[in-house]
Amino acid sequence: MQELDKDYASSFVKYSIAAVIILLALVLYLIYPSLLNIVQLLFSNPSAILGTTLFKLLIFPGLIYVSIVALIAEWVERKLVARIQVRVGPFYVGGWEGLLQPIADLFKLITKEIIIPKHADKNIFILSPILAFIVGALPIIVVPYSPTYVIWDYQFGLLLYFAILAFYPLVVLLAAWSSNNKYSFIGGLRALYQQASYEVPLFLAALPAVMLAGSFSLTAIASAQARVWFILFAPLSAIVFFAGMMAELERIPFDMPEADSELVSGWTTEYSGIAWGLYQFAAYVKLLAYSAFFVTIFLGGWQGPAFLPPLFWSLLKVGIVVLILLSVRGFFPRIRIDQLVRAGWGRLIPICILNIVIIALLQPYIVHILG
Amino acid sequence: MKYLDFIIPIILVIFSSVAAILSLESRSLVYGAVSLAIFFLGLSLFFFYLGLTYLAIFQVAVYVGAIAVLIMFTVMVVGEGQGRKRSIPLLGMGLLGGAIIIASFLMGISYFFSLPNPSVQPSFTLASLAKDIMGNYGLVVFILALLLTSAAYGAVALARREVEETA
Amino acid sequence: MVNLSNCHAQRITDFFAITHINLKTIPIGAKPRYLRGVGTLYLGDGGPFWFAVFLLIGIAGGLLFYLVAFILAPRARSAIKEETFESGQIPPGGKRVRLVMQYFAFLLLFLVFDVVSMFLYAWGASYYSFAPSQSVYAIILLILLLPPIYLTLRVAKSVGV
Repeated sequence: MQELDKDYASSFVKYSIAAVIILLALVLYLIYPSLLNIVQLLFSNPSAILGTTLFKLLIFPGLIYVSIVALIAEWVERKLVARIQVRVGPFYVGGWEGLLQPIADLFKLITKEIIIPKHADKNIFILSPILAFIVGALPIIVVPYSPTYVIWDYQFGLLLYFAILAFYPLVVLLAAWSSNNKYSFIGGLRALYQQASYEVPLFLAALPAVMLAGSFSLTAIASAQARVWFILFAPLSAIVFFAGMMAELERIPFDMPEADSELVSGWTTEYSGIAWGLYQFAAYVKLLAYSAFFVTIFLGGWQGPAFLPPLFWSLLKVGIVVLILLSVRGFFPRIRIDQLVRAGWGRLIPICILNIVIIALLQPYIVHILG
Repeated sequence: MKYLDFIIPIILVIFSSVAAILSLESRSLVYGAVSLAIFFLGLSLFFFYLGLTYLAIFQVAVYVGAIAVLIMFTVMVVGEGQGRKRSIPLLGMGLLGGAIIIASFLMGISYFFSLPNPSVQPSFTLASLAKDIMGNYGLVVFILALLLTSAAYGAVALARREVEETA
Repeated sequence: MVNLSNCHAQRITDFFAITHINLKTIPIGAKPRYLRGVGTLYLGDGGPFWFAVFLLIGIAGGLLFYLVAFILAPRARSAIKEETFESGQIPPGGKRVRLVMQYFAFLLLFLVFDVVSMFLYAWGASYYSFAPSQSVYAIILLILLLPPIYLTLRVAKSVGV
């Protein structure tokens, strides 16, 4: 029976991928003339295509890049956590080590029925996964991967980032309430407490980066780290930001809203099919957005030795941060809600404040170091 | 396209007013709270248009991020009573969302249709604002912070007494 | 037909590659924008346009997922499937209120800290124009944020949450 399942899953995925490729080839054939022009332009004057904002928005570092990385991150997480826990992880689907498992999961979720509970609020129930995805993906607009690869080099980029973050608790609350299930509502309220408790340490932890760079613009913050990265001035803030990031993403060890022992899947219990799939996808997109943000404000963005292009350094750093975030899942047990609230308010905020006060007092010396 | 200067505030005002009216008149309290959040968003777009970016983001982060969440929390926990199933149809929400998108398109496109203007410095900057807040008016901010935190602690103390009474 | 001769964007490629920012003076006490006549309408580099494009594409993407699910997913409604999922037990009455209102005080505290951190951001952005001796109030404000947290935590512990 297992052989049958393996063959079915692998062949279904393979045929579907073949169908998508054939469709794409058909579309390409139909728009061939203009495609030839674009390809010629790409080789003769690459910045005319790669420099346009539309390319940056759609392909890199915009939507398609984020989607592909979200799928890859799902596979990497499952394999990494499995190896940490001395097991194998996805193994069957795809030729080697279950590479196509995320795509198989995507197909499975698409073909499952979306059940709307009896007295649930249909409008909000259907719209909240889309809202979650949008709110997770929007911060990517201001994050720079290199001096030229930023979709919108906004003067107040960091503040826009936090303004979008402010929508997360709203989304959780709406999603939890619209399920009309008092258990998932209580789970959603606890998720709300968790996110509200860790947003303040996040805000305070990003303040040293703004102070040291003198500007809210993320490209200015990344450019100001040419001599020395901000993590050396604000290591405590970096640690606090990392912890706050994990709590906002609801990753283990801050897993309490999702894998609560008395509430099945937390506030996403009543969502099935692609609605739930969108929540998971939004979680990985948020992961990437937060990691890129962390790299920009603490680890220097694209700064690195000059023998490799800046884009390579920023992708390397984002990859390392994402790997660390994914692998933490295998190491730690879950934190209870009272430990969580105590840690967020009672321990993280004083550490942030200590770091801010130190930086404020050391101001004349820092001016010399940063140049 | 000089009328864009006139049209955009009108659109934003209409959008915010529609959201505010919907929030007052909707039979379902939760939809009213959601419309209130959209009203705050419309207000912040208006600040955005006026060039007060910091204030606009302050508005989103504080009002939508904290106050609308608190109001929604209260409404959802306390419950709605009898008028629960009557709600604004999806069309209303779609109109509000469409208006946000149209407004931001207009704001972005309006840049390309403006008359040439030399770039000028704003008359007061965030730096001077901060210098005033933390310098000259530092004592005021200090007292306000004391007031806020004592209000928060008072709320906690009152809630504690009620919990102890019911427990 | 729109007259493009006065625009900043001279070529169509400029539409996609704007980098400079154009601010208009807003002196305090000036007339509102729509009464002041023409000028630069919005500060920025066409960024909100791309923001709106991103928003639209995100909404379209989400709706695309739903469309594909609408085509491929079965729909077999039945009364039992749409019952709420209740595999846990929550006792009625006081305990449920306790579970819901456990950390409400921290939401209020979050509101206060949100406002205060916005003021601190205003201070932080002009860090290089302050000497340490001038930002005494900011440092006092920071240190003064700590006691309410500890008081609230102590109250929470005494109530037993």
